[in-house]
Amino acid sequence: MPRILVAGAHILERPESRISLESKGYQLIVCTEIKGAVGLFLEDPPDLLIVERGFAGNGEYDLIGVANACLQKTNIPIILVLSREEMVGGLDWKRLPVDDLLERPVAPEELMLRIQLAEARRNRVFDNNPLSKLPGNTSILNAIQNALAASEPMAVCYVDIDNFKPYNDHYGFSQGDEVILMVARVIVNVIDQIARQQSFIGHVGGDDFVFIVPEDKVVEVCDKVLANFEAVRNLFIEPEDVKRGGFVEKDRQGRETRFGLLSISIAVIPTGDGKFQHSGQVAAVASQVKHKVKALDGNNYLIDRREGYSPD
Amino acid sequence: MEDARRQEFRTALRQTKNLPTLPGIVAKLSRMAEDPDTTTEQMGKVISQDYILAAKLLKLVNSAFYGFPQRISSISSAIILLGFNVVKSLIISASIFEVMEDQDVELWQHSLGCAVACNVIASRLGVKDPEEVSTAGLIHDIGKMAIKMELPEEYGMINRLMQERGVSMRQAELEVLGLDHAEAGGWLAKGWNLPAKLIEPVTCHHDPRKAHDAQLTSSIIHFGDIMIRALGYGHAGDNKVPMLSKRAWEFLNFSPEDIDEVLELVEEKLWDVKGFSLEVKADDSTHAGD
Amino acid sequence: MQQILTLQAKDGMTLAKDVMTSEGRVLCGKGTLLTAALIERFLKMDIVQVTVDGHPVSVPGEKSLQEELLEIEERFSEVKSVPPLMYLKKRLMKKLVDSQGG
Repeated sequence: MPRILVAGAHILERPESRISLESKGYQLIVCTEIKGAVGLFLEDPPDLLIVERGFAGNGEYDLIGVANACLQKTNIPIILVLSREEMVGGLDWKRLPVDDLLERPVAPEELMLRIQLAEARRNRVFDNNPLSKLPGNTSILNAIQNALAASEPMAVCYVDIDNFKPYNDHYGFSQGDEVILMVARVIVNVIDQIARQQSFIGHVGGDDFVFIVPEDKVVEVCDKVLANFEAVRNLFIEPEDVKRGGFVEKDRQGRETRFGLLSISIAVIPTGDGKFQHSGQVAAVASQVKHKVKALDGNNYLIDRREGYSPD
Repeated sequence: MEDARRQEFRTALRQTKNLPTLPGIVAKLSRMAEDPDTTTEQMGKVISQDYILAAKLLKLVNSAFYGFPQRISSISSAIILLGFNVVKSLIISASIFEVMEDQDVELWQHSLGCAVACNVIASRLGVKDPEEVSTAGLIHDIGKMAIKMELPEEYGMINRLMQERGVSMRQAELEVLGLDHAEAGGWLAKGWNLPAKLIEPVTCHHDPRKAHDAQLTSSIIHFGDIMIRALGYGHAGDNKVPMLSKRAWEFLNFSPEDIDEVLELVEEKLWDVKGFSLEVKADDSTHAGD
Repeated sequence: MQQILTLQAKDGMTLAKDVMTSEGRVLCGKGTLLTAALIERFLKMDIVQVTVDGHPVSVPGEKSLQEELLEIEERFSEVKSVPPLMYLKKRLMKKLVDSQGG
């Protein structure tokens, strides 16, 4: 039963609204103040958010921010309700990353349709990684193309978790999944703090991530990602293995080998100066850089410094 | 004490939803959250000085939603994994005391003092991650607040009993409820999916013999609690230094010099914290005493 | 002498102990007369507490030395048989006497 958080006192003004939605199986939770609304996202996130412009003072910004930060559900659709007067002058879409609008006073038929449309649209996005909910391959290739076309110099970064396969074998897939989620969150939160505006984060699958940030922020971002990973990594490893600095598992050939603890390798490919024409070229260079950086012990990142692109 | 009544209390306590904290702390954090220059780490530092918000943060990061059940045992890690927006949400949704009593401030101070003491003791013993120990030390008395909020009638009886007969809070709790705040805190921590290395020290801080894997941490908190009471910093419900557990003392194995040095360091660090206390108390305009 | 928060220090108080920098150098020697400008400087450098002559700051509900010692005695009244705790008590009482008497 889909749960809808209705943030605002006027949205369900017409009694037919509530009746028809509930008869279709929607569970409606009405909040008129910010504490309860935010608390709900923390405790038990809804499946859809409808929020009024001017909710709880300027609360809609905070509430929408929380809804977007909710990694545990795939992109909760957000509908903003506003009056015609409030539409004048435009809206700051960066601060209000909503999926749809609804005009006040809310007509029950339109409310129903917009909710169903939001759900249908959300279901069309098949690209997201089921574990991390981050965008997948198609979105990543698009994002890289956009970065190549951008006027500002960007950097495309490929993240890889070293020793992940033996870790998975040794600790089990469930814990392996936890590590993937952990890395996802570390990357998302660092970029959110340092370079939110023009960045992109994707999850290729398994233990591979791609993120894109402006080139002038890339060193700071990489340093922080490595530092934060370092700070939480040991929580995911048995104390004895931490002490030993590694663990014993079978390698790809089936031989017992000693593997080091988990670490992160990042291949950084600056894409400014029209060096690359399309994403395939970026991926090719990344492959070479990845090879080099993974050969280094521990957490590392390596920035590609070549001048032009030449297919080797 | 019949099992039925104990079960009742246990059920009530496990469902504790409302745990308020000092308005001054929430006010400070709200200001910080609005300032674009504030980092998540800075907010984490302030949160790690409030036992209620710290517990809520740990509950959040260990909840099934985030995918790390029973794994995250330190506040700095929780901050890294939750990120700024979620931490901000926590602050927005935090509840505060409508009317603050002296007791509430004193318990807050005691919890903070204990965290400080545990950090010093753990460092002295060469523990690899003192932050984990001080986190446990910070939340060790959360059961007291749960009892106050969920069982207010019984809480009143406990206070009266302490006044009339001069017994310790723990003794009064056992008489009135058939359980003490350590057990209550342990249930809460368990219900919140916190890692065992946090649950055990909370449950066993008065009797470290009960612990399995966390005997050392439990012993550290046991002694940290004693030390802070001895210093008279904050108020833990009653003013008596409790009996020292033999097991705890065996684990710590402190010489008189160790005691001296730890005492010195703890007092020094409490000074850093006193400034913060003043700030937080000054921020509050709902104090009942004014 | 009295150990107080720098926030509580005022013009005219005298340092009873050296104020050290975090690297261990003496910033201001004992006997220095405090001025508003100096106190401001301490605060900017994150020097949280200073020890001054006399007992200039009246702490609300502050008790006399006698009362404080009695309180400590009271706190430890249930654990008289425990040597480490008695040692702790002794140290605490000595510190109290030292700081207030000096």
